[in-house]
Amino acid sequence: MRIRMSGVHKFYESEGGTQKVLQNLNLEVEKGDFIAIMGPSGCGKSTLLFMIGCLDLPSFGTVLLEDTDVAQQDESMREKIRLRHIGFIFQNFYLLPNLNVLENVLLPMQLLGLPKKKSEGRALSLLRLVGLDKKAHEPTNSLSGGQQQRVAIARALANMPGLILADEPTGNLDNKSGKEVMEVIRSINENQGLTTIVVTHDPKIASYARHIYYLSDGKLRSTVL
Amino acid sequence: MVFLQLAQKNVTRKRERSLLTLIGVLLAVGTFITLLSIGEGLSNRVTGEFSARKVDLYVLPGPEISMSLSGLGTAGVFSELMPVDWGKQINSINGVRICQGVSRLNVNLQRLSITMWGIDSHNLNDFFPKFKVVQGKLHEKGQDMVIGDGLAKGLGVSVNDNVILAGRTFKVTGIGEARNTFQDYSVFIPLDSIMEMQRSKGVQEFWINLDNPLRAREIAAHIKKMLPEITVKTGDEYSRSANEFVAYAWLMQFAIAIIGVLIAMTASMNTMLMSTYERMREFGTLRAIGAPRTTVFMMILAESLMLALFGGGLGIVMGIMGAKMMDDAVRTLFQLSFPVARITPQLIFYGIILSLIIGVVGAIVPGIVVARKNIIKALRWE
Ligand SMILES: Nc1ncnc2c1ncn2[C@@H]1O[C@H](COP(=O)(O)OP(=O)(O)O)[C@@H](O)[C@H]1O
Ligand SMILES: [Mg+2]
Repeated sequence: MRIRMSGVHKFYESEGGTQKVLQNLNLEVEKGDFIAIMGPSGCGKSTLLFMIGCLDLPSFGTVLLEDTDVAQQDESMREKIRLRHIGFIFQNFYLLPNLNVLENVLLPMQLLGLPKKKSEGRALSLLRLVGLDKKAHEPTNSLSGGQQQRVAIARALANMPGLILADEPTGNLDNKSGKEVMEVIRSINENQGLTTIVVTHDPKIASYARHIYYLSDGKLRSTVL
Repeated sequence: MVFLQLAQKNVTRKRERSLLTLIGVLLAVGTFITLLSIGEGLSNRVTGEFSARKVDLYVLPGPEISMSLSGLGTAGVFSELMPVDWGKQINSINGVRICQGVSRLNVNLQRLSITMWGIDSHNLNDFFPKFKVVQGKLHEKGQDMVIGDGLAKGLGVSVNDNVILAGRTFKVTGIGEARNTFQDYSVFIPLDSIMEMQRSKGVQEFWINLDNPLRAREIAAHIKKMLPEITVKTGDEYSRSANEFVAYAWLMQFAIAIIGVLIAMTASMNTMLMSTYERMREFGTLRAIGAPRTTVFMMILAESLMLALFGGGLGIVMGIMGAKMMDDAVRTLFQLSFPVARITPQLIFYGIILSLIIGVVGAIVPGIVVARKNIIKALRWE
């Protein structure tokens, strides 16, 4: 999936006045590209990612996914885009605790109304891809952090999205699990040609990407200032 | 129906939360059923008394009087009396088929309060057409007594037994049943016997059946002109004022029940709302991966309804057991000889409706909270 952001502003109104998080931000990501967005905590990386992911709206500007300006869509359209075209990976995994591993991966397909048998086959092969097919029927809280994050990756891939958005995917993991998770993300990007955006403040994690951007003063730059 | 699957898993895999909500609903529905079973029982007793009775006109002592109530669910016991020979005068009126003096007396037996009717046996079936003697025969002589089968069972009395009531010995000549909680828990003796017991020459009421019930108003006017200081009511008027009383009794029961219901309902809604905030990140996750708001709302509604209906079902069972206990307690406390609590299909239907209401109301607030919550704020909920 190709992404074009242009003239994007994001303001938050707070007691101390208006906080300008993003200012006239522009970004272009080609289909199949793998980019990392770096920057200190609180600089607006998540805000930027959520905007691309149809979870948040810009104050001004356009956010084009292919040819659709997602900022102009209504919420039910944005729900559809999230469900069909975007796979999210969060720092805290956000697996549903009342569902087991397989059920978590199945969920997006069920929400789409896909037939059960086919979905289960696909969910199991995705779990095999992340090396967790043996844990399919375990509760998620019996898994380690790294394993949980790999389940979350399988879930993100369930509906064959065109775009993977990962917000600090290794932020809660030790070095070894973090590396494993990044290897999985990179191999998916390479083998399936999924556009991938990873947000991180860790240069080692960012180095998995083909392009690195730095967010500061509400704008993106290709080099550290 | 992915929302149903999610709801079912949320309910069965979060046991403590489900249990707490369940208990709230159970208490609400259980209290509701138990308390209303009393109202239902009393109203059944009073309406049963009138529906099983066929009386065209009542003559009551004194000028226009309002319905009084003596004992639990016993309508129309008057302390003033009328001379018994007025009956003959009324009987002479053209169109009057039967006129029977009737008096009632509440006496204690085995520490139970029992309603005794003074009414002559040859007229009994005219006024109580549903009352059938199933064993023995009617009360013909002064010390004869017919007893309703419910009461007979309760007292352990059978035909030919002697029973002492208010210092007089009666012989049980027959056991009868009308299949209603009034007559089946009454005792019938001749009118003269009850007058002797009351040491008076008067009766409390005259009951009249007419050749043509359509002439009731005309003949009532006639009787009123003939006798001083009396009230004449048609059967309908008489039972209407009793029904009014029942309606108020029911309303009071309902008011008491509603208080219990509201408390329990608030408790169970509170649990649901608390659990909504606890699970805010889960709702945020669902929305983030593209679950439509309707799916999330339906999931919350389905969870709430599952818990409410299951809790309500248990509540109905508890309510029925509670009604039985309440019945025992009230009967002991007020020394009643007849059952007071009554579970009807209608009451169970109300219990189900109440469960549904709790389920829907309990889902609406969390549903709105979740639907209006910003997805990112929901995801970052602590
Ligand atoms: N809903 C909000 N209301 C007000 N301020 C917000 C809100 N969300 C984020 N912010 C502010 O925007 C800034 C960027 O946040 P975020 O995108 O989460 O940063 P990062 O992911 O780079 O750590 C922070 O200063 C944060 O306080
Ligand atoms: Mg962040």
